[in-house]
Amino acid sequence: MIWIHPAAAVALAALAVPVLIHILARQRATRVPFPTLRFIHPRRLASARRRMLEDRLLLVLRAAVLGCAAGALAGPFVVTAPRLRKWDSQTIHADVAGTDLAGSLRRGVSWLDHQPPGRRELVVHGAIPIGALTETDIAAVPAHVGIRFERDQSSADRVLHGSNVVDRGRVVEREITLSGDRTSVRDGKVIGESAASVEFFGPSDQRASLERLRARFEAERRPAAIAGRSARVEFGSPAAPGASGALAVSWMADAAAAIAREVNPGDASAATIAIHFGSNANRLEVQTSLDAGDERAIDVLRAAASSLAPPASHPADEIVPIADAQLRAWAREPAPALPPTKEMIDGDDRRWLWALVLILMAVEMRVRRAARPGFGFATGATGASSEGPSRAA
Amino acid sequence: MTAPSVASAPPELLARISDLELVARIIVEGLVSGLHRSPFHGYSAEFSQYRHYRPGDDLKYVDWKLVARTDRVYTKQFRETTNMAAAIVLDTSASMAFPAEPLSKMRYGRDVAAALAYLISSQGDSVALVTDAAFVGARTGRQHLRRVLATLSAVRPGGVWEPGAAVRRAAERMGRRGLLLLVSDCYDTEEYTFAELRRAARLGHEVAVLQVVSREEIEFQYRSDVEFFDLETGASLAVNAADARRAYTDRISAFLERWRRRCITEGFQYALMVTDIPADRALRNFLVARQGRRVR
Repeated sequence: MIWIHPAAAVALAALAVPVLIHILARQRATRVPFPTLRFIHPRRLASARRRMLEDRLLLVLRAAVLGCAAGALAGPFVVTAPRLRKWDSQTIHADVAGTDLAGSLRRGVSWLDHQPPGRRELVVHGAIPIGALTETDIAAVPAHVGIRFERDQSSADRVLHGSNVVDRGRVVEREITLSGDRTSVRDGKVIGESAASVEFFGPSDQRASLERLRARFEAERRPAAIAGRSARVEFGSPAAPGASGALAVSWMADAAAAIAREVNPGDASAATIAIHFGSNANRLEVQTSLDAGDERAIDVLRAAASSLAPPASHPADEIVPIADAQLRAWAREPAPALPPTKEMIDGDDRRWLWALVLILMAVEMRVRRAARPGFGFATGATGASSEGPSRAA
Repeated sequence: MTAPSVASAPPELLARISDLELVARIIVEGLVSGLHRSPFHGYSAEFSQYRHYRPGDDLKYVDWKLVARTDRVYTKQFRETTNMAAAIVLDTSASMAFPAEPLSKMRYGRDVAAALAYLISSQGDSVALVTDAAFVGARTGRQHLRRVLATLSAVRPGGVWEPGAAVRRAAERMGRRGLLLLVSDCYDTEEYTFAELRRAARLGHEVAVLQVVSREEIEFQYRSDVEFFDLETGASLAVNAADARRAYTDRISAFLERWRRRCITEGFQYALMVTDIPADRALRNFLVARQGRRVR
């Protein structure tokens, strides 16, 4: 028996009401000496006893009415053998998928806890790469919950959309094909002309160098910038930074850090290049003392272009699956359905108790009416009889 | 001749008087004044003295010659040589203790017995008293009356009584034919009692049954649930009195009527005495009825 609202059992205190009424209403039969009992009709004695029984029956009925009502309010749910068999015959599956399989597994267990009674099983879908699940994650799953692994077959050979590249002034899509442990990248269709996302300039005396640098930069394949991002590089800038705004946008800060890391990789043999960053509206301003003719100038431009492109990282897509033998070791059948907790139950058996309340009330009314009228504590004889021998002897 | 109107002494008043002789005298004074002649008298007597006529005296004892000479009415009194013997059999069973208030059947019956003894003794007849525990032989005289009254004062209700045995003892001890007065509620061993009463009648005794009951017994004025316990047996019964009342009153009425009819059939004098009726009035009714029987 499971009670959905056990707090309603407080209503059982109402049982005291009919008991108190019974105690208060009951009058003890007064003990009276009498010369002889031979004239007292035995049948009346029987009726007196019957009335006492009726009183008790009424008390029991009334207490039962209140008890059933309190029970109905508490929401009973009876665990019967047929119900157990029915629950045993049904299995509730929780599909677990996604990149965070361990978290999904925990959420699946939590979700199953609130499902209707039945066998429980977690079905793990996906490529199930190494590291997605560990022995600890599996051990955290309750023993009665079954685990089944369904490896996604499509994950063996997949084509992903890579970041776009700029090739000779055109923006070209890149497709990444994941086939088992092999990854291949190829250009796809041209999706448009490239906007000048990275501009650069320098002193007029370095014009020739700048032209060479432009020709070289535009001839290279480079990551396409994200729309709305641009950068302008000034070569041959004085050591002191010019007037420019602070790096107010987060991507600019990321880009500045990436450019600085690219230009000054921390190699002790190379001289440090002075470089300053600023912003102008939605454009990253880069000032470097490096001349346009310097061999490393192209590195600055490459770093700027790369920093404006989205990160080309696909760790989640690059799958090395957990071995099938390991998954078979972890898999297990769901245990027979456990008796449910109140969280699992979305219905109850209170309707039967309410029906019982109605039946008991009807019986109580019938018993009350069946009691002979005038045979009660409140309906005694009201006067002396004129029967019997006259006073005159 | 009209009897003077004398107020009866209420039972409640008598119940407060502890002197039984006084009670007997009050009762007797109340009843004799209403009688036309003495209820009891001996069988033969020799002249003793004259006395003034008293209402109730038999006119045949009036000395008419003396009336002619003196213009005063005197009656002749005789010293009874073969006076009447009367035996009063008083029920002292526990059922006679009912009701406890205001006047029990025991107290009422005792007062009636005392009045009878007083009346009989004052007329020179011998009186005997038989109770469950005591026996006072039939004698005359004031001393004997006091003994009888003292014995009556000492009786207490209790236990189960066998009226048949008491009647038998009284009938056998009286020696000669006399009057046997049974004062009882007659609840015990009805057949045996009747058998002994019949036997006493066959022995030549005149039998009178004074059945004492209380109004509570007759009318059963109880309400709601009552547990009655038998004063004699101690048995108890729980009953709803309102429901049981009709059947009870029917049954006790039938019981009293049966006693009345059987007594009449057997030739016994019968009187039902209810305790809320003053004893002198009840006795007067009894004695008037007795005179009627004797006249017939």
